[in-house]
Amino acid sequence: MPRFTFPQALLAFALGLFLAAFLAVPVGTVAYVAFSDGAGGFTLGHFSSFFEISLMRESFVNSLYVAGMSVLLASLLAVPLAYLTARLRFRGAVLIQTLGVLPLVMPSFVGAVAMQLVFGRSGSINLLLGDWLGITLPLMDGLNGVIFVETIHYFPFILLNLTTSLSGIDGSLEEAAQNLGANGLRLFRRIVFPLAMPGYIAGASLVFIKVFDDLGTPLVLNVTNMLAPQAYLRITSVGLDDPFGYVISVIMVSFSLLSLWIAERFMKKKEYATISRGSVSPAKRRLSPLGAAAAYVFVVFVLLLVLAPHAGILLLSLGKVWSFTMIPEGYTLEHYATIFQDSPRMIVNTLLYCTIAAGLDVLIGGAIAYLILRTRVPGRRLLDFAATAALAIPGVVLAIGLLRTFRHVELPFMDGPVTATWAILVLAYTVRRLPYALRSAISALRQLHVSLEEAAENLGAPKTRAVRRIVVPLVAGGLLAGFVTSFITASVELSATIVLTASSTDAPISYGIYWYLQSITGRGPGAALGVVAVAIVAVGTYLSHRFVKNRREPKESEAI
Amino acid sequence: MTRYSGLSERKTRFLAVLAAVAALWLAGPASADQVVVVTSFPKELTSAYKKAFEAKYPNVKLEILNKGTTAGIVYVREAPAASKPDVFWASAPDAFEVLAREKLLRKFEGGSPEIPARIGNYPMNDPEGFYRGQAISGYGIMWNTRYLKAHKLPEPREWADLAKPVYHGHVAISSPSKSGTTHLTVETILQGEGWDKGWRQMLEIAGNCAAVTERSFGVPDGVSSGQFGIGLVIDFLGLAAKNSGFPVDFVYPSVTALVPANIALIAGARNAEAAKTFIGFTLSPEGQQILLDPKISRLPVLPSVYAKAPAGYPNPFTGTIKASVSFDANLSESRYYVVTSMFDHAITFRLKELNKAKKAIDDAAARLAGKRNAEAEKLLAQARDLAFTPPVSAAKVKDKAFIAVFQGGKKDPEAARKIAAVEEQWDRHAKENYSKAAELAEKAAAMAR
Amino acid sequence: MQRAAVSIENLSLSFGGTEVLRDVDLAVEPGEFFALLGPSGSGKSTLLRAIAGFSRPQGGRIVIGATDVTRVPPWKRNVGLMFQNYALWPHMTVRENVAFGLEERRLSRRTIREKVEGALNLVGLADLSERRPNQLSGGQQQRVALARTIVIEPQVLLLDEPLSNLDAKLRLHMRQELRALQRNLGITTLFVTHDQEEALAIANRVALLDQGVLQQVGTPVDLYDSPANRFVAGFVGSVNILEGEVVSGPSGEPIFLPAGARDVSIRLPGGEAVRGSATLAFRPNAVKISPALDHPPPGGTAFHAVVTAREFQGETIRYTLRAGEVEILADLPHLVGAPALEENKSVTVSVIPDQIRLLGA
Repeated sequence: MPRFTFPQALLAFALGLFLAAFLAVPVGTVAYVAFSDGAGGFTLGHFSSFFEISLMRESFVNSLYVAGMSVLLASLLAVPLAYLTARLRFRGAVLIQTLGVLPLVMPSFVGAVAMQLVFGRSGSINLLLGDWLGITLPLMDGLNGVIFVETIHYFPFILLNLTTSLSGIDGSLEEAAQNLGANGLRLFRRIVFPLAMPGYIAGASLVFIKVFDDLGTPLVLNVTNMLAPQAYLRITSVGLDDPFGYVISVIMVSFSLLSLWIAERFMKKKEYATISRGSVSPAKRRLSPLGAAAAYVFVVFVLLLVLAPHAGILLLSLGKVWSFTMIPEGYTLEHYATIFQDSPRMIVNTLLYCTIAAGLDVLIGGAIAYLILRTRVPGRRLLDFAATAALAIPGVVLAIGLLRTFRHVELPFMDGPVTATWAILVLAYTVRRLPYALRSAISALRQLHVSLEEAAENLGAPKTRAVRRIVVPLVAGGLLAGFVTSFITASVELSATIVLTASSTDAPISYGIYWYLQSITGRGPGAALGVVAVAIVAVGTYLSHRFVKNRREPKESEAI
Repeated sequence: MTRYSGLSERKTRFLAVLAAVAALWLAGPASADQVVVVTSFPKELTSAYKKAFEAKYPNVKLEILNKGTTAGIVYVREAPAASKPDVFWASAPDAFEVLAREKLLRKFEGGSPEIPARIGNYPMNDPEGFYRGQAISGYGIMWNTRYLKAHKLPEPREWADLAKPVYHGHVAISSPSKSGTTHLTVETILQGEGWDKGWRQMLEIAGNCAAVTERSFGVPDGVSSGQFGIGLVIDFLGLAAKNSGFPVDFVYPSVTALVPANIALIAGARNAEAAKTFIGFTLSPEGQQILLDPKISRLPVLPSVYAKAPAGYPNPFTGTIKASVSFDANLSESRYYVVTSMFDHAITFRLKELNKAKKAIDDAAARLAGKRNAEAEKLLAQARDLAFTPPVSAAKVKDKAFIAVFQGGKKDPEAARKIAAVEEQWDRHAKENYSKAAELAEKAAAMAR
Repeated sequence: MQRAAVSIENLSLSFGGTEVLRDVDLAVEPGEFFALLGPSGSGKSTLLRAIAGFSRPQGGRIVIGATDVTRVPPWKRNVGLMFQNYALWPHMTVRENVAFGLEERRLSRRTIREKVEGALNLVGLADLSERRPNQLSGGQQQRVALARTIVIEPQVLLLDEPLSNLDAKLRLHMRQELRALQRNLGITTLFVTHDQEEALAIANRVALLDQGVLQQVGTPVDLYDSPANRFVAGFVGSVNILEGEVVSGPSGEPIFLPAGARDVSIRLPGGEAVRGSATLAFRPNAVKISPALDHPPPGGTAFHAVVTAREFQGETIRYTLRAGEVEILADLPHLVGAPALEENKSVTVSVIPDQIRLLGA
């Protein structure tokens, strides 16, 4: 048998072309502009003038500070919760599982609006505190607000990864330490935490990247002295030729890559956690009544925090006027009427774009997975790497790169450059969400031992039929889970959306929410649209959990 | 053995999807009767116009591109010649000046003869004919009535009121570098009070600010929801919020200017005729009346329309607004970068330090009141000078060479470096002066004992 | 090194509703090398973990030395447990693994260094002290685990299936090493194994457990030669067990007639055996085979059988013989050149009388 066949090579080439055109070239262009002196020469001048401007220095420091603080605070919430689930016999475990999903269902920029109303200067909580104690907490002022919102939104990443990691630790490793005299906090610090480190780092680095790259939350909270908003503002209000937008992009990509690299280094030691023969799964300790009470208080506290944005956005979408009161004054369905009258188009757009993008992701991801696992086509590793690398590219950066690369490219039958059409949004979504679909496809196909296909062939089924009757049905669940994940994450993608949306007719929901929230007559319709988005994501999340449950292998960690 | 046949099936499906996508693209809206409008106006206004216009002209479709004023300019500038948008519609006259200077606008005739030639001293339409006034904007103070009641604050009337110690931490303003309307507000104060006095007042007000929001919308939104007590806003944002039921109020201070918000035809517009129809519609009695919608609450340029306005609706043609400032758009445009950048470096980026200095000065003044302590008064005056003197003097801002530094743009690395150097100096000036002012004021306060 | 006695008194333990240990009584002498033997699920590991403090008994006491440790948490017991999978911490080097327990005891750095050196030398791993566990072979890992356990100088050493993760050859070698080390240190040692051969080979005494109940405690020879019951006889070594009746022979001597085989009779030693139904046990090597005779010898000393299967085992050949319904295993020594019996061949079988044991219920 030859190493590969011609059609395989052709497919690999086509996939490579797609990734090159819509990922490598745009990102390469961004880097090129950042280091180019305009005459084809190399310069670090843009970087040095970038750091000469105090606003840029401040933005840089702020972005690092916000991302770092978010990781820290998210850890403070997630580590005890993960320990509770994995190590203690605790009836509230269901609550904690809920905690792991609830925040992710709501896009952070939607949550930001709601949290301003609940925790802001004159939000419900501060009005209460003002009445009772005469104090107000600056929870949502400036950077605090961004940190707070991001913490609530992203702590589940640490919670989920750390719980998996903790439950995977061989229980005898802890017993051995107890046998040798260690206990309590020392046991946790010296044995348990170091062993759970890979999971923690995976979660923490993911939080860091997501927060560092997030554009929507700071924009909605009126904070622009951070890197992502600066890149956005530079490109939109100074112009596509302003080098600083590109400098910021390069910095953002570098930090994403750096944190992924650190996570990767830790993941390599992951063999730590695997349970070996003759080992015991970790024993769950019973809590003392006092401990259980404390645990409940903590879990309920976090649950309230996590529910606050959901409650806030729902109240806002149903409220008439909400100003300087604990909750809105009157209730109405008018805002929902408004959005279904004014902008059903946006909902349709989102469904259309995300279906196409997720569909392409499944096809491309499935094809790449097949090439990696079942063929020996040269360059298949490169395809895998390129498709996965999209994870490290912030939405703003990809959007800027696409704009710059395709601003003069026109499509047949289309009016104007491709950047003025919604095709660019679909392309951005496809590239951004490809890693999710690819991971799902790889894990689905990996579970399927090649002998199953061979058995079918051995019994007389030609290759095509073997694939259709054996492979497709068996990986369908996995591919579907990948589709849904890509779909729901794309449907609330804002970073690339607000850079790339060219007209309100073509705008998807996420843009609509952002736009509606800037309404003088109140944010009700924006909130209503937000509720619609949350509903889409919630249904999608539920479906993808169903699909994943039907598969045997546990879902791969999101960081890989 | 063939190992690829399964893929070809997959590929077929891939092609099918591509075909479907292409079909959808083909089915997309045809452009023949589409007018693309770039605007900074909120969706209440644009969707009302879209609905009314499309009802009247069913053959023309209005496509709204909502952009901030500056982002809108960039969009028009960078759109390829073949697909320029048709209409630019925004508040800030300087934006239109910029577009006209870059030859991005196209002259056109038309408009109602009923529209007065001037509002105050300000020409309603561009004398050169590139753009024309579509509504009138004034700038003023908006506040949340519940907030003021809860904090027991008096209602402000004038800009100067906002500098009073009682409002410390209750005011909000946007950054003029991000918001065209805020820039107009700041420019109005500077032109109305003079450069030095105007900046002094601006810095004192800023010393009371809880926040300098990054988008102009942040201010009315924050006041509406009660995050801030008082905000400096363009009139219709305040009035629309009030008319939509929020517990807010709005006032025009005497130092305000009435300036037209404009509409213009973009050079190279693909549907120039339809675009003109739309512009004509916005200026017609029908189009002007839309402005009176409570959710829009703008001032029409057509005086006859005010007859249909609800009672108490401000009318710039009958003197219900005392606009004492004649706005000079050329002056405003010439020093645009100096004003916005100076504002950011002296106020936006150093707000905390400025707050601290203002608070220290106010506290010291309160302690010294009634006590004749010449030395302390002198220290306090020094502190005020340090804190509230702008880094660029009135004389310097008239210096052509100085202004020229900022007009080169930043593309040229050399110019960028020069600008960066000046900005760095402003930053240092602000930081040092504010901390010193706070120190002096504390010293003065200590002497009151 | 201390030599502590371990005494288990009336120990009962259940998980959920499942009873895992029932009224276990056991006394381990100071310095003894003691094996807990049993099939999987017999409760032997649970008993070991109870001694270490990881399973809490519902009833009974555990006394180590003079102290009742039943309610003492694991980290205060000072017993060294070596886990079946070694439980080496992958994020620590060999040295750090071994030093851990000493650090927990807040010893001085110097003492820790000296003791760690000593322990590593003892197990012959001084050269590999900076390696991580996943860079070591299975045998090396086991030595690290051992060093880590003995370095704290525990009162009792507990070994959970210490040899099960090694390949067959290494297992033989390591068990001798373990035995030698234990003898040198003189430390009271309990080790769990499911391998009866291993237990008999190295333990001073063996306790055999089944379904949470102690079946017999004794020296290896006691267990092998005088199994207390059917389970013990069956578990320790191969055995033929026959149900049947004891009757008196022509001259009053006791003769066993197994159920289901009319023509088979086995002569029992001595005259004191009780008449009536009984269970008979004898090892395969107690069976003698001679060429088939036309008539079975009188007095129940021999009977006819047919060879139904044959397994070559090296030093011996194991034959399965059938007489009526009764199946009997017989081991015959194998010497080079000696021909084996063919299947289906008829033979005459006798059992050496003094190798036969009558079992209790």
